[in-house]
Amino acid sequence: MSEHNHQQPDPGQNPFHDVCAALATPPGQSGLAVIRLSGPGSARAVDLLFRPNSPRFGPVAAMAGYTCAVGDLIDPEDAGLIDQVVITRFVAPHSFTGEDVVEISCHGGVSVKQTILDRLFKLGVQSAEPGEFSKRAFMNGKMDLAQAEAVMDLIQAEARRSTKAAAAQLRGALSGRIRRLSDAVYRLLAQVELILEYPEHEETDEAQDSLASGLESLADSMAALQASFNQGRILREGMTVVIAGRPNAGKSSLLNALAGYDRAIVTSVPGTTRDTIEELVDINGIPVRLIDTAGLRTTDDLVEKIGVDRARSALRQADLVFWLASPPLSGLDDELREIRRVLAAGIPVIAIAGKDDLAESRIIRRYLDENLNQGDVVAFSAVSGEGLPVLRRLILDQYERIGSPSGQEVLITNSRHKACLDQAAARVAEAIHTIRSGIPLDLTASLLHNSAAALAAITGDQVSEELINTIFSRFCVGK
Amino acid sequence: MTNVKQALNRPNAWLADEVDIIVVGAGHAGCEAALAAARLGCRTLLFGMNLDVLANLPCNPNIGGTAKGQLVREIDALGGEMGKLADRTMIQFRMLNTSRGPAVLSPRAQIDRRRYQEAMKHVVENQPRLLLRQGEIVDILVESEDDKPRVAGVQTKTGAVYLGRAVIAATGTYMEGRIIIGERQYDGGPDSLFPSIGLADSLRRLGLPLQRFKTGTPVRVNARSIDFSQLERQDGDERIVPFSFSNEEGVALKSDRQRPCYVTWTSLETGRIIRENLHRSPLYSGVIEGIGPRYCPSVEDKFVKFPDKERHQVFFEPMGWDTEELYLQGMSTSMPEDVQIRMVRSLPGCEHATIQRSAYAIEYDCLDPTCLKPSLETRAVAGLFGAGQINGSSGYEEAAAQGLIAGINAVRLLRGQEAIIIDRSQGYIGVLIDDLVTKGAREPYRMMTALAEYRLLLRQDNADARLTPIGREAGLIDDERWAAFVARQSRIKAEIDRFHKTRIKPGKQVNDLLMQKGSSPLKRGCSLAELIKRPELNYAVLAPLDQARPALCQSEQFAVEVELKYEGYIRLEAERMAGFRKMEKKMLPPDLDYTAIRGLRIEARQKLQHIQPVSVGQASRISGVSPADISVLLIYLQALDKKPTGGGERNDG
Repeated sequence: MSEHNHQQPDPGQNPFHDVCAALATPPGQSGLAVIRLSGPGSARAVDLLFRPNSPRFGPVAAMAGYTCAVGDLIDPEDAGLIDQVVITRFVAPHSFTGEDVVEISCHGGVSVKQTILDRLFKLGVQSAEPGEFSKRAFMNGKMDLAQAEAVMDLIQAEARRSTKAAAAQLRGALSGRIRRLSDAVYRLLAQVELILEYPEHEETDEAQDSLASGLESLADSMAALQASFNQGRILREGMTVVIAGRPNAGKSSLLNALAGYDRAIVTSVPGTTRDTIEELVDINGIPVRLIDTAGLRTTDDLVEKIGVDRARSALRQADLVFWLASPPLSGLDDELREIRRVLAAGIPVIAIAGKDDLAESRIIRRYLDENLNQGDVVAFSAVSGEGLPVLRRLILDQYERIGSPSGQEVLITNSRHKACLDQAAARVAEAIHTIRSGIPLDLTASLLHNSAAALAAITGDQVSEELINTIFSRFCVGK
Repeated sequence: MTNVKQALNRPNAWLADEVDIIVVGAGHAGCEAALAAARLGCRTLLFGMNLDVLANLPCNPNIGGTAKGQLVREIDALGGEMGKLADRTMIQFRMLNTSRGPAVLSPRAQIDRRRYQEAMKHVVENQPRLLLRQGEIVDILVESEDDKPRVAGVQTKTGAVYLGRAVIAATGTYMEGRIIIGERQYDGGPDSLFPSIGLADSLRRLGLPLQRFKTGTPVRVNARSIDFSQLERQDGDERIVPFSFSNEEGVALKSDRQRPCYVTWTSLETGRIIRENLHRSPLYSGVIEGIGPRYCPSVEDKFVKFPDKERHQVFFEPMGWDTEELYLQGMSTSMPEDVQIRMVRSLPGCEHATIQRSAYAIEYDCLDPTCLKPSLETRAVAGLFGAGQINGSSGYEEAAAQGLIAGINAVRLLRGQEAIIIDRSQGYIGVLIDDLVTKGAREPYRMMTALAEYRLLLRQDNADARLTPIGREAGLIDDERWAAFVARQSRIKAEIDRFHKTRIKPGKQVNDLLMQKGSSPLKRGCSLAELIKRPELNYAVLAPLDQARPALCQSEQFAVEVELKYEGYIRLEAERMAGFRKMEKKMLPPDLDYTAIRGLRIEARQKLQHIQPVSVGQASRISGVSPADISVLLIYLQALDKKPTGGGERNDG
C-alpha cells in the first residue's frame, strides 16, 4: 500500500492573480533599477522572496507606508541569494496606483532584474499589461480627468507596440513550436473532454488509456522549450562569465586582460574588489558579460561580507566560471570544495592557475588537474598574456555549446512567454499527478484548461473555440 | 412592419382577445415560458400549431445527458417544469460519468414521448391564467414608441388579432421549414407536421437578422423486426435519481421496471452502401444550404470525415411504454429512403428490420442571437423575446431553459422590474444564454460542459443551492418549497461543519477499516473532513467511524461528500469566479455610442456597437475585443462617472 499524498494539487488559480509587476526603470544595464508590484497581495508576494537584514524590519506585509527595509532576495528554489535590495512599501490608497504597492530597488544588471521578475512570475504574480500601472492609478481615482484620455491613447499605443514585438518574436520557428505545444494541449484536452462529454462513446476507453503517455510526452516537449530560455537569454543579453577565486588571486588582472584595459582597481591588498564589477566586452563578436567578484573568504568586514555574498550570487547566474587559483598553497582544498559546489549546480568551471611566473603555480596546476577532472587547467599570466588566447577560445566554445541555436533548435527569449510556458507546464505536471493518483478526470480537465489558457496568452487563441474545433475534428461524435 | 390597425384592416381580420403575454410555439421553450409567465400572475396565451404535439420530442426520446442533465436540474431549481415531467414519464434512468468526478456527473433518462407530451399538455391546461390555443402565427404586430417598435400583438393565419404587451417567439424548427430526404425535398416541419410560413418575413420586416440552420433525425424501426440476441443490452441504473429537487428518490420509477436500450456497430456493408450512394446524399450534392451541427453529424458524414474508422456505434432507444418504435441513435441521415432501408438492414440483428419513420434533414430559419439582450428580449423590438431553437440553439433542455428565462423576463419587463440574468458562474443556463447573445451561433448550439469556465461549481447536485434563491426572487418558488430548500441547505451545512469538527484518532478499528479500503493507516488524529478527501474513501465508507451522523437523504449525503472532498478545488474556483464577478458587475450604460470612444480600435467599436453588451464582463467575451480595448472602456466609464451631471455647466446658447 502506498503512502497517499492527500495534498491536492493547485488547479491553477493563485492568490496573486491581481498583483502585477514590471520594471519601473528603463530596460537595459544600469546602476540601480526599480521593480514595482501593485495590487492586493503585493507585499505577501515579496515576503516569499525577501529576508530582511535585521529582525526589526519584520515582514513586508507588516511594514508601514513610506518605509524601507534592507535585505536579501532569496531564490525560493534553491535558497540562493539573488540580490541585495531595498524594499519600499506603499499602503493603499497612498500609492501611485492607489493599491498596495511594493518597490524593489535592486542592482541594475540585466540578469538580476530578469531573475527577480522571473521568480515573482513563478509565484503567480502577473506580468503588467501595457499601461497597467497608469490604468490602475486612474481606476483608483489617482489621476484627474484630463489625464484619462492620454492614458487611453497610451494603452493602445503600448498594446500596438508590444503586440508588434510579440508578433516579431512569434514569427518563424518559435511560433511553430508554441503552436505545436498548444495543439498538443488541445488534443489531450479534447481527448479528456470526449470522455467527459460522451461517456458512452466508442472511442472513450481508448482515449482514457492513452492519456497518461500523451501527457508525459507533452510535459517533455514543454520542458525542452523551457530549457531554451537560458539560451535565448544568452543571445539577447550576452553570455555571463564570472571570474572567481580567493582574494588577491589576480581576478581583477584577469578581467582587465580579457577586457583590454584597466577597469578594476588592481592592487595587491587582498579584498580590494569589495563588490562585483561587471564589464560587457566583445569577444569575437559575441557579447560577453565579465563579472569580477570579490574574493571568496570568510570575513568580518561588513562591506566585504556583502561583496562575498554578491560573489556567490553572481556565481549562480554564471554561464561559465573562470576559477582563478593562485598561491599560496594553503587553503587550496577549500577552493576545490567551492569549485565542486559550482560544478554541482551544473555550471561549467574552467580552472586557471594564475601567476605562472611563480614556481608554486605549477604545483597548483598539477594538484587541480589531479583532483578536478575538468580538462586542462589553463595557465595564465597577466604580465606576459600567456593563456589569454586559450581563455578566449574556451569562452567561444561554451557559447557555441549553449548559446547558439543549431539548425532546428528554437529559443524562447521573452520572459512573459517564459512565465506563460512555466504555468502551462506546471498545470500539465499536476494533470499527470491527477491521473496517477486516481483523482477524477474532471479535475484533470480543469488543469488542462488552465494549461491551454496559459499558452493562449502567448498565441491569442480563444480556448473554448479551439477546443470545440479539436473535439469535432478528431472524434466522430453525434447521433 | 405591421401595426394593430393595419392588421385589423386585412380581409377577415378580427380582434380576438387581449392578454399580457403571448407565446408563439408550444414546444419545450414555449411551454416553460408560458407556464412561468402565468405562474407569475400574467394572463398568458400559448399558441401551438398542433396541440397533439405540444412539448414534442421529435428527435431522441431522452432528456438530460452531459451538460443537458445539469440544465434540467437548473430548470427545476428555478421553478420550471421539465424535471418534474421527466421524472413522471421516464422509462429508463442512467447517471453518466459516475467515476469521472462530480463536475461532469450527469443524469439522463429515456422518456416515453407520448406520455411526456400528454403530461405537459395537462399541466398547461390546468394552469390558471394560461390559455392554450391551436393556431399559426404569421405576423408580429408592433406600435412605434419613441421611434422604436414596441410589440403589440400577433395575427394568426386565419386573421385573428391577439393583443399582448410582450411576445415570446419559440418557433423551434418550424419557420420556413424544409424537409430533405435524399433527392426529395419539400416544405414541412418535423414529424410530417406543417411548417410555419410567413412569420420569418414578419421578423425580417422588423429588422431582425435571420439565418438558416439545418438539423436531422435518424430512422425509427419496429422492435419486433429486430433480433436483439445480436445486440448488446444496456440496462438502466439500479438507483434512480430524480431530476426534480422536489421529488423523493424511488418515487418516479421502480428500477426493475425500466426498459433497456441496445448497442451495436455499423458493419462493413453499411460503409459500402453509404460510399456507393454518396452522390445521392443532398449533403454532398449541394442541395442543403443550412448549417448543420458538428456534434450531430449524419452517418454519411462520419464515414466521409473519418475514412479510417471502419465502423460506428448505433444505439437503439425505446420511444415509450406502449410502442414498439425504436430510435436509432447514430443513423441520422439524409440519404434517399431506399438507401436508408439498405443501410439499416446492414446492421447486425437488423437483417429484417422494418422502418416506421424515415430519417430526414430539416432546414429552418432562426435568429442571429446577437440581436438579443441577455434577458432574451430583442434589442430592435421592445417586448419581443426569443427562446429555444429560434435563438440558434438545439436540444430540448437548452430550449426549456431559455423559455423559462424569457417567460420570467417578459413578466418583469411588463412590471418595470430589472431582468433576471443568470451569469456564467451561476449556471449552465448563464453559459448558454451568454454564449448565444455574445458570440452568436454559427451552427445549432448544444450545451457542453467544456463550455463552462466554472464546471466544478456548476454541478447537478448543487443546482438548487445556486439557483433556487433566484427562482424565489422571481416568484416561482412557493413557501413550501422554499422552506424545504432552506431546511435541506442547513442540514448540508451543519453536516459539513460537523465533519470539520469531528476528530478521528488513530486506533485499531480505524486503521483496520482504512487498510481494508486500500487507504493508508492514520499516524495521528485528523478530522473527518480531512479523511473524506482521500480518493479511495467516501461518505458511506466512513460510517463505522462516525456513529454520530444524522439521518440525511442520499442526495444530501452526496452534496456533503462533494463539498468536502473537493473543498480545495472548489475554493480556488470560487476565488477565480470572484474576479469574474467583478467585471460582470461593471455595467455599461445602455445605448452607449461606442463609435465615439477614442482609443478603441475600429473593429472593437463595430463589435461593441453591434452587441451592446450589458457589462464589461460581457464585452470582454466578444470576439475581436482585446484586453487593451477593455482597459480603454474601463477608463472611459470612470471618466463618465466623473463628468459633472446636470446641464448646469453647459451653455447651449
